[in-house]
Amino acid sequence: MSDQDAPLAGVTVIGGAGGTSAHLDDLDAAAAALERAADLLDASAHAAHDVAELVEEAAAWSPATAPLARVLTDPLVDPWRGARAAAASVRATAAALRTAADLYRRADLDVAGRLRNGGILAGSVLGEAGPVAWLAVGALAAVGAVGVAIHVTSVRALQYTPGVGGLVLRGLGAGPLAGASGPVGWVSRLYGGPGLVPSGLGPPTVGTVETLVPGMSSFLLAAGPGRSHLLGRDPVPLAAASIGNGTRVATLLLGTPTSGLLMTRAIQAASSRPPERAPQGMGDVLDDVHARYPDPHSPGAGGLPGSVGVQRLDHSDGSASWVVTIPGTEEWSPLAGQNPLDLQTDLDVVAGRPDDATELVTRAMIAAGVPPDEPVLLAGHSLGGIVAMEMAQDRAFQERFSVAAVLTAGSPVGAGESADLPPGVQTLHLEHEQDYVHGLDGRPNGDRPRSTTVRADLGRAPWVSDPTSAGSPVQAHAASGYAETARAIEGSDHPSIQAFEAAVGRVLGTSGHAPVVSSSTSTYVGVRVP
Amino acid sequence: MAPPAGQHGTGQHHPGLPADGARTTPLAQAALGAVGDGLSGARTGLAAAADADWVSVAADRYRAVLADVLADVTRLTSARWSAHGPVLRHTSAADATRDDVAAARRAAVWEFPFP
Repeated sequence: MSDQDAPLAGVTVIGGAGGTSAHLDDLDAAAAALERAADLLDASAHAAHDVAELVEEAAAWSPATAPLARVLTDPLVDPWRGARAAAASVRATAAALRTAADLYRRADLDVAGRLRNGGILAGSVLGEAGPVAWLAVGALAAVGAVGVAIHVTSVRALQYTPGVGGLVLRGLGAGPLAGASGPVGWVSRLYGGPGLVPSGLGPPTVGTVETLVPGMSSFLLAAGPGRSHLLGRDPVPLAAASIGNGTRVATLLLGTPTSGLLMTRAIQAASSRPPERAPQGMGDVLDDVHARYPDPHSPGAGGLPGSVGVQRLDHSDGSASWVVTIPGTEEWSPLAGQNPLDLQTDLDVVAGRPDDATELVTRAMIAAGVPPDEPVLLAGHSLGGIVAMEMAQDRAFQERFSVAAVLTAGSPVGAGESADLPPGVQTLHLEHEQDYVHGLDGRPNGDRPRSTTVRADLGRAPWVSDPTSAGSPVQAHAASGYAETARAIEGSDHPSIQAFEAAVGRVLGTSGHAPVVSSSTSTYVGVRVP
Repeated sequence: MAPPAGQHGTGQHHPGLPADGARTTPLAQAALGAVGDGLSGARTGLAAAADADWVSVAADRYRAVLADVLADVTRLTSARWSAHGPVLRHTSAADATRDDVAAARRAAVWEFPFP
């Protein structure tokens, strides 16, 4: 499959129109075409057999012309090289093709599924074992880690000695061995190379976080009182629901309990660009999402807390479209406060419960007068991305609004991604390798023909303006950085990105669609009230 | 496929005698047409299947198998065109002979004028 073709250095594209899933669908379509071809060849063989019978029947009346007709008909009915043999060969090829597509699909599921289930089982067993076992396992893990560290640094120190051992270790760290894949390369990188610490060591990757989260969630659930029954269930939403219950109780006891959400339209629109200028691409849209965040360093600056934006774009052909911008978590207090974009909403969204952010966006779209037949682009960062995806997949929302595309940045949308997107809707998920947030649902994004994930390694990306973002998960999660990444991939020739940009172009009036002649943005602020 | 001798055509059937009219030729023509249609449709399907965006060693083998089958279909299409003329000449000759024989026998047999 060719879905891993990098459109830029440090960028990996998964899924979408050029993804493996789309290619596997292509293989299924090819197999179906072969089966139809086999049926036609069988029909052809049947007709050729009729011709041969007619030639034989006529031979009694015209023996002189029969030999030539017979000789020329024989190739068509030859059991080894005739149409029937060709049909059998094509049918066998179609079956092999279907098997190949199934094997590709199963291989992906098996690896991911086994890792995930192993983590869930281990977390569950450890959680049920109780505090004494946790202490024992923790102590064993600490002792093991210290032992491994002493062993590795001692062996690596030997490379600075003049003996044969030093020579071998110096050889291990240099040359092709260090770059080799598999166990040989792994050992070379562990024991060879300069310094006492292997160069590859550093913070865990987002893949490691994604793998550990289900196990940690099951541990958390199993550690609670009573027996947990996690067989066949996703522990992440259950853990989020449990923690959410805890924060609700804490709010009740220590904070100000709230009873509802109030929404109002703000007078001043927040935008990084003049309000009359419509967004030209994904980067501009994410700039607008970024502009919705309040500035933590200077109170009163930046966007309004708890606000979302609804922008109307009027096109030259008289049509209209809409861009909805949803920022992520703005309040991290475990006690729910006035701002609906807070940790409580995070937990509710991951748990699959009704949440205030979804309520706010829906009410904002209704208040802005978004009709059901005009295309909408939903764009969100972090929590805002999860909300956008959940809304796009909601049947009631689909009846009310016409979503054309969903753009998320740094959002954990792997678990919430389903096949419920209406036909024609394209989604694109931007993820930075150094950002952990999009891995917190414990599931990698699926490979679906209309869902593209663009993963960027900020350490290798040439467009990054803030070089510290590659070394900090917090910086790597910044909405401004995602806007840069979005701008960098705009105009890519990767088929998955092109398919998404075509869908976005319908809303933004780009990619050959009627251009935007005027635009107006409304900001809606949500406030929880006691 | 072919009806029993004496049941082709539109003419009156006389037991013990072959029926008259050109009967085998239209059937052969239709069957040859069906052979050509099937081969042509199969060729289109095979070409579409060969366009699958699949890159691997297995994909190379798959394309090699399809190329072989396409070559077979091309050969069969050519064989079908080669057979077309001689087969129809053969069935036409047979039909003409059968008509001649039927006409001769009809002329030689006195038929009782009353039912």
